[in-house]
Amino acid sequence: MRFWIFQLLNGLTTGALLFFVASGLTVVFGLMRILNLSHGALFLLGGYVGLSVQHFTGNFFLAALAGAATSGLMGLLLQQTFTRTLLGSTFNQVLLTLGIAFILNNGMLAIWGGLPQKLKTPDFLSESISVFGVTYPSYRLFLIVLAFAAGLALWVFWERSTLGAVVRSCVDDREMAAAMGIRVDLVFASVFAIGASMAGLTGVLGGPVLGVYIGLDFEVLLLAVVVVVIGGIGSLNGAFVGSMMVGLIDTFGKASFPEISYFTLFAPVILILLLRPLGLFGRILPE
Amino acid sequence: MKRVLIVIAVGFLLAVLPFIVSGYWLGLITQAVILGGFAMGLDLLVGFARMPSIGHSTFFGLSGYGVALAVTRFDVAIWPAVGIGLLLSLIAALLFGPLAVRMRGLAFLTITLAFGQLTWGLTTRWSSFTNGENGIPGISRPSFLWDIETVVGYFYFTLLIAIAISIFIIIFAESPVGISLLGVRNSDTRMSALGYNIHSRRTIAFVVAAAVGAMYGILNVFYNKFIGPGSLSWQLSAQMLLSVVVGGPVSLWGPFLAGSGIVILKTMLIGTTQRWPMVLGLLYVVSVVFLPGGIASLLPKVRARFEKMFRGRVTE
Amino acid sequence: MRKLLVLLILTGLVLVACSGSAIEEAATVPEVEEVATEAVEEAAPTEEAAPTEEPMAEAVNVKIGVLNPQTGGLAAFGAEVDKGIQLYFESIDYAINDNLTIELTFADTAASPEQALEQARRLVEQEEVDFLLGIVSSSVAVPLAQYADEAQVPLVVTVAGGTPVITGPDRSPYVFRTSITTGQLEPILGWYTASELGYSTAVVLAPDFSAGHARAEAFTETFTAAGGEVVAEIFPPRGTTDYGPFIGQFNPDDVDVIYAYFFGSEAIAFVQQLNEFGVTPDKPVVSPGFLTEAEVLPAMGDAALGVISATHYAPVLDFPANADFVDLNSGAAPGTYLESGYLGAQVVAEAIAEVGGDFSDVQAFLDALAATDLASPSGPFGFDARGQSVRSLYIIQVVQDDDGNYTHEVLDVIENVSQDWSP
Repeated sequence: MRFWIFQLLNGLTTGALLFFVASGLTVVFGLMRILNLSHGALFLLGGYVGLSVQHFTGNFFLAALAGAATSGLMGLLLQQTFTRTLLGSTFNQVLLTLGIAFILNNGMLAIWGGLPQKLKTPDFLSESISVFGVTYPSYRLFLIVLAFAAGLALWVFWERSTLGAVVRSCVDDREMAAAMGIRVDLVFASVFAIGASMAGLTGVLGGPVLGVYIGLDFEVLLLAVVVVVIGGIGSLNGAFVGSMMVGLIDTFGKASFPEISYFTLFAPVILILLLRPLGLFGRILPE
Repeated sequence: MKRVLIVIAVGFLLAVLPFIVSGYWLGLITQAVILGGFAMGLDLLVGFARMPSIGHSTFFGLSGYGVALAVTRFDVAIWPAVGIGLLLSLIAALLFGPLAVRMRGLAFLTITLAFGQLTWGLTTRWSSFTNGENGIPGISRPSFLWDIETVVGYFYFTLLIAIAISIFIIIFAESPVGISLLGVRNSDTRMSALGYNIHSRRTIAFVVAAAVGAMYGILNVFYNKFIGPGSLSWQLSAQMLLSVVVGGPVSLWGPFLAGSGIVILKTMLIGTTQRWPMVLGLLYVVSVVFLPGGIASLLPKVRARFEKMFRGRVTE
Repeated sequence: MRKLLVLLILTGLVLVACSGSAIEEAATVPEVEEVATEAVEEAAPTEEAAPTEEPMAEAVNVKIGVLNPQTGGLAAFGAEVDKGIQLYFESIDYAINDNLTIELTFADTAASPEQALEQARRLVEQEEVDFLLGIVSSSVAVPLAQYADEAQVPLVVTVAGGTPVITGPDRSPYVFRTSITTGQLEPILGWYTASELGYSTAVVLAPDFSAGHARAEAFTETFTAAGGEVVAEIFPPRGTTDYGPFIGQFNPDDVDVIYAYFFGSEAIAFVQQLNEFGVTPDKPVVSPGFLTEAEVLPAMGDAALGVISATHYAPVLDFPANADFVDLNSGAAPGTYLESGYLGAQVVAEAIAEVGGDFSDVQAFLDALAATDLASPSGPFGFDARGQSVRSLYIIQVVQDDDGNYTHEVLDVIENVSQDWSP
């Protein structure tokens, strides 16, 4: 019993962090048809900036704010600079965003050094709590609650608010939205920046659990891409369900069959794709 | 046919290299030919069929592992082991291919990544059999018509096989199947309305690209006399995909040039700066911004300029 | 217009990165080129001066190819080893004597065997280095040892210890290893934990790769031989960041002691999470020195207090050579990777001096290496007949000093440990 509760909570923690990263990736992809392979690097950039801010101010929330802002600005800069290339062919996107990911990765190695580091848990969340007889760190529980709250908030924004409707209309039919007087370029820029800043924020939030180190960017990117594809491109619901699924599969796979943990993660992914080539919540997007 | 002659001509030109460059450079060029050729094969899938695979190093590495395991674990003679290695890759391609080609675009990218990670995970985790991260050292080269233990000998061996594979690729690309692939790429609904089986065309492209990768994988394992999980990592797959894009998809010669160029450039860069991944990343970004069609897109421009110059002279 | 903007931003990016790296490296590692020119400058005056002062002596420049990971997951360790090597050669001004100078040429292995092989070829065949030094990753060590043997170039391995085979019975005469290998740590720790510390049940945790399995096995063997019992063996994959799933696999009430082999970011994550999940400080932890070495100790904080490690080096060791070493490191506590680089440099410098920098007879250099007998920062140092180091092993415990800094206390010393040690 202890094993199951423990691993369930662990799976949900991983899922929560994945959701924050993958939601930005999936919305950007759904909206602009841009697969941003530098999303993982933006995640890590946020983490490193957060690390420095926490080091100098000792304040976790200031760190989170700074991490989110830096990655958001970097994302905006990339989007503004490379709009034409980004909206071009898939190949050029892959080449461009992967190139940027390499540059950022190596730049961060130059600035922060290769020594693996970790953010400190905010003081009021540093205690462990007993859940159903299992001692569990309160910070991780906080992350799980935060993910569910954020998921709900995003869903309300997406489905119920006027702004959400504007964004959705751009996903469905860009030309029509533009004809209706919606500033499509503005929507694109802000969504890209928000997606990037969410990645940066997750870098900080994940800092106390995952640590901050060179290479984490690509690890997170791989998992996030998997989440986006099995959840269905452009679907927030899909990102949520996909994240939790990948988090749980990964955790239970590692705990029960560590020898073949890659198999336990990727075999279900392949199975899902074969049964539902568009992902769990995917639908055919207009070209 | 014209392109086959060009391949043979380039092959003859390269054959002079051992008389010009040092042994070290010859070794590096051998490695460059191997990865360039791999990229050329991948162009059939990525360029012709427009399916961006980020898992094709699987077949490059699997054939190498097939050889290494057959020789070290089962004491198979080297040439039969080569057959086992090729067969292993081919079986994997026939298993993965038909499943993967049902996806398009990003989904295809992801499922090839998943297949790639599966086999990579298998080679790193199944330590008792594959020796895990440490890989398998001590694989000796087979005997051939001439001595291929030397750098020069192995260069000619690689060159010979690379020419043969390249000719095969060109013949395939110019065959009705190859041409129909371009049709599938441009409009798959129309092609399927015309009675073409889209999935089978794509599967053929997938398997042919895998087979080419497998053959170069064998050249690679004998070159290094070592095989490790790095040879089927997603990073290598990504480097190959980028080579195709930088070189210019569908041109065949572009990906070959870019694939081999990146090998040489990377090796030289590492010698000059610790920040080599950044320089490489910058090159990717610069090439996509300034040369969105890849290196191959330069050729028509250069040709046009030459024609203009030529014409200009004639009228003078 | 937009392309111009792109170009501007890219230039900016490179500048930022370069200035960043410049700051970083000015503080820690001097640029590679800088070192090379330093050595050349060193060589230049001697070349001019030599004919007038000492007509017989000829200026000799020994080129060392240093192969360590500068990018990828092991970059931090590679940088430390590089720094340790430079620290030693700077302390002797890159010169053994007036006519014998040292030049270092660095290359990045990225911890990839293929890249390491390519770079080793470049160093040996293109840069014409006299021998190779370095190697962090065990997976690089074996193919490189094979290359060294074929190319008949000496290779001195400074870190990679997870592969006993390269100094095993079939070892190449060209390969030496200054770091310790699996048989020189875990067997002793296993025996020590059971017989000296008196624990009888243990859970064993190590990363799921060959060195992890080898170490876990070695610990288990002598621990059980000395009367202990291993109740669970857990192998998290390499690169695990969240150890929650693995810590959840054993019940702390069932075990007396936890054996853990992790290093770098994995060590930090593991030790902290062990504490977060309430396993420590109630349960004692024993480990190889990597788990609590000076590099990672500050990041762990209180979570590491009380951990007992078996190590070949700790900054607190009381030797004159260690005092010099810590001084050279500006008084800061050196990590084991820094020490590995420093020691490797010290060992090869002695051998170079012995043969007078003459590499026309490689065998003489190999013989000089084999005969090494020096007082290193970690105590007496020598090689066994198979090129494997013979060193002391220290049992240390993490404590907090009066200023609140985390450091170690030496509990015990086991001297002259060879790779064939048995209790």
